[in-house]
Amino acid sequence: MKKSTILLLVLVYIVSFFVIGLLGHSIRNYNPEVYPESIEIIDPDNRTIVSKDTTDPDTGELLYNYYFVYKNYKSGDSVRIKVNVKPDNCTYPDVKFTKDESDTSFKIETNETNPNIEKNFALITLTDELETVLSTPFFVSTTNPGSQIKLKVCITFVSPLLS
Amino acid sequence: MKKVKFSTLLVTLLSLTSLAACDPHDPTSSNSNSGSISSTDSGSTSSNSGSNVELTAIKLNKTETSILLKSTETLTVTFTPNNATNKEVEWSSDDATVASVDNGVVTAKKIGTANITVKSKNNSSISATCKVTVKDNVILSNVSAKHEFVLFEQNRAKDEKNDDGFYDHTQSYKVGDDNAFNVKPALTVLDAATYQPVSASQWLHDFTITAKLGNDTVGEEYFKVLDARECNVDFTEAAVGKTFTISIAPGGVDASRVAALTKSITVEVVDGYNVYNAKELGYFDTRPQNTTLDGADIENDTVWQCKWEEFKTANGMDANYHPASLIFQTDITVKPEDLPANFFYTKAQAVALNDAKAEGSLYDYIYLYERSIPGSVTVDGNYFDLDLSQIPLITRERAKTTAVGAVVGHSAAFKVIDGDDITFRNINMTGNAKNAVDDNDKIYGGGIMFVKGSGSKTLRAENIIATKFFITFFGEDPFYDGYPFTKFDLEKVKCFNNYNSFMYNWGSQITASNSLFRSCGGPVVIQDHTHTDDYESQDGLTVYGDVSTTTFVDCTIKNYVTGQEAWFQQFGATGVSSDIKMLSDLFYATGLPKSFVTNEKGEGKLYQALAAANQSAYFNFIVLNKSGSAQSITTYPVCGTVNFINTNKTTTFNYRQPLYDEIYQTYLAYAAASEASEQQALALELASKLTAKGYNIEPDFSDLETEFRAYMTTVCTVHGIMRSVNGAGAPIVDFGEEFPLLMYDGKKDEHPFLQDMMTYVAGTYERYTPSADLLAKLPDYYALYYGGMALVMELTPYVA
Repeated sequence: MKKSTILLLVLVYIVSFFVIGLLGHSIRNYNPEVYPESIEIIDPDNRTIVSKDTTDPDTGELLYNYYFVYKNYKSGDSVRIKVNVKPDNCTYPDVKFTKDESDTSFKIETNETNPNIEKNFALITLTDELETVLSTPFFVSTTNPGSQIKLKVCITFVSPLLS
Repeated sequence: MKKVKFSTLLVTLLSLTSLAACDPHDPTSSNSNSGSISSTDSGSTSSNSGSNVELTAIKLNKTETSILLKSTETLTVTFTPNNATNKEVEWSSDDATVASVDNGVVTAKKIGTANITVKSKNNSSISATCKVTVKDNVILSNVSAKHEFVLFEQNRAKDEKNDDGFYDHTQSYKVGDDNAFNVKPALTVLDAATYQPVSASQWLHDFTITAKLGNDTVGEEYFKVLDARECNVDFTEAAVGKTFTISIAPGGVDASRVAALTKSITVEVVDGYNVYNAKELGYFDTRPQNTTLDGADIENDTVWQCKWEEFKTANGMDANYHPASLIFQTDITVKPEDLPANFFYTKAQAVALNDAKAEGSLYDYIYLYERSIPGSVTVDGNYFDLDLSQIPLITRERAKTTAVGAVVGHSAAFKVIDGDDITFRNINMTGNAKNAVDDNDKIYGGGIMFVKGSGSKTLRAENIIATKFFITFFGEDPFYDGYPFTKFDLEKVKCFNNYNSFMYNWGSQITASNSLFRSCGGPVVIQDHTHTDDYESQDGLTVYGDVSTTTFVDCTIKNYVTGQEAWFQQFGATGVSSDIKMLSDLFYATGLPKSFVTNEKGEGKLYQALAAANQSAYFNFIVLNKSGSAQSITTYPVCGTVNFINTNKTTTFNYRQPLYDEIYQTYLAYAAASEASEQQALALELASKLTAKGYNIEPDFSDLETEFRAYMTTVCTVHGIMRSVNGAGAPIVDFGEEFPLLMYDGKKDEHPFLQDMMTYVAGTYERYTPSADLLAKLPDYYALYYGGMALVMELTPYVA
């Protein structure tokens, strides 16, 4: 075997040693905690008109991060939304839905209350008959420790009489 | 009579009519919107047509219409006959505040009904009218309860297992009777045309607001509505102590929707003031304008004048008003601009000092809110947040050296000097100190305490969550005449991520019940300046001999530290950690299960990294007893006491002398042992000793653990184990103002006790037998001394 080949092999060995060492170091220092960076809310059934970041035209104050309008409501209709937590490899991919519990005009069903609903999906249903129009304001937030991302969301159901 | 041609007469009459129409004294002329002709007649012709064709009728395109508020609609006129000579008309509204009209253009101004009339100028009997109904341009599509009330309910309902969940979920919503209370619900208002959301302020209807006491609607004896649009209400003094249900019904909606859109909230009325912002929290402060504070850490200005009274006056607050309680009505964030400006360093001062003080930095020894009047006061957070994180740190980061003897953090959010019961309850509060171990592994000084109490009073903290304070509860006994112990009662308190300690007990009596203490950064409790004898101070005042006593009843303490956290580093105490750990090992490392020290995931990257590197690096650091520091060079025997009580235990163990005799012997042997088998034998020896004393312990590790737990978690007074910091070679660094003084060389001549201590040879632990006088005060007092610092650790109340 030529000297140069031996030298090359030695070099490869040394380089490999450092590469493996660095890799090991990286693995040892790998931090699996990936916090949510953003939340995306979509209408997977494409039955609503969606507006993002609606604001008060007078004051510029944010009214809703996501605002959906569902027209031609028929009794018993529900609107389904899906929540995507970014990044995809987030350690805390789950979300929670909160609302004014004293507001019984609508309900939010999730995987926790209805196993038939997929995780991070929610089904919003009106409680009573709709004569004109009804909005369903609620919050979607991440479940990570510390500061959580929290979005204001609203779905407005519009009667065919107005639609 | 001269015969006049009919056509001439007609022209003359028309001219006269025209003149009359222009008569400035004719009231109809001034009320009409226009004298010009509407241009909407499809067949209109010039009014000056050659032939005179009489107008017989006019008609509007609508007799009834609805217009959205703030919008316009144009009404058009049809003339009959189409070729009438004079088509001049005038427009009027019978209620121009609802709908005005200008040349046929109707503008909707207010919700209601108005009749728009158009009349011929030549013949007012010829007219047409349209009934205009002005409707909302917006739709009220949902009413939620008042935002803060929803937040209150959500905070109250949070699982207590989570850090932000309160222990006590039973508190009612409190409302003060001293000022207005706002109950306006959260409205979802939509544009009536597009159904897009618009500002709730566009809903311009009044609300109908009523209050019920039980089933009875109450009148002004208890309750009155101050503003039906903004929903401000006020409770009278007679309402204090009673619980009311307030119903808020929106106006301007169909009767069929009112019930669904009506919201109710239930409130308990208390004697006090409703706080909506950080400025109003200043009503806690009672310092008059001329209050001065000598010795504040304000260089070149030893006399500091409080500006709170001036600040309150400048902000329209009554400087002499001191409510019985302060009740949060929303989250409160305190920013520097919410406080008197002279609490912070100016740029000129910062430049002049040229050290660790930055522009805007908080002075040390500054109390944001200080109360010094007799009487009781309660601060009830209503489950809301109190955020003090925007108050700047007192010192800058460690790299920018603070002079020895300078501040380490004496300022507090609240200070109580006089008074009776002072209570803080139902608050989730965050301070400005860095985490026990922060992400960047930087060591910061400063930070504020939550509350400092001095004097003859009880300070209560009930259902509190406290995070990121330098010290959370400072029980300060100022020594002097008329100030015996301060009594602290902590009930259902959670403390996380402090910097120095959760409780700094300076001769006080602190009892914590049903509480959780986790990740302090230093010890959970520092018992400082403990001494036994009354004596006369340099300024001639009587200093009472106090003994710091801290009692934990049914508490969980998970203060796992490595010895590298903020407190250790700032005070140069990193070197003692190995010794604490070694003593801690005594309780389990000889073969006992490692359950007394559980290696749990800590806070921050450093904590995690250390956890990965060495799982056994942690110890549960609970109490440090010490005496003497830069603030007070008086040194006395360390005699702080800490009790751990678990009332849930069914064991029959009552108080017994601590096991230090046994522990001590075993410890010495363990310290010298090098083989695992030898260490296990020592554990068996310990078990045997316990059995001989009637503890009925089988020489089995698991049983030993059980009994050991039972003993330590029943009623156990724990004593100090003293150790020299300097002797351990710990570096005394920039901030180390306390530990050098723990070496008592300079004081040993004054105190025989200290002299005794100094005779102990480094590396040898000796048992110290206290004097009869001390024993009389502390009949259970024993300690192991070595050098100058007392440490008590690793006696965690067992929670199954």
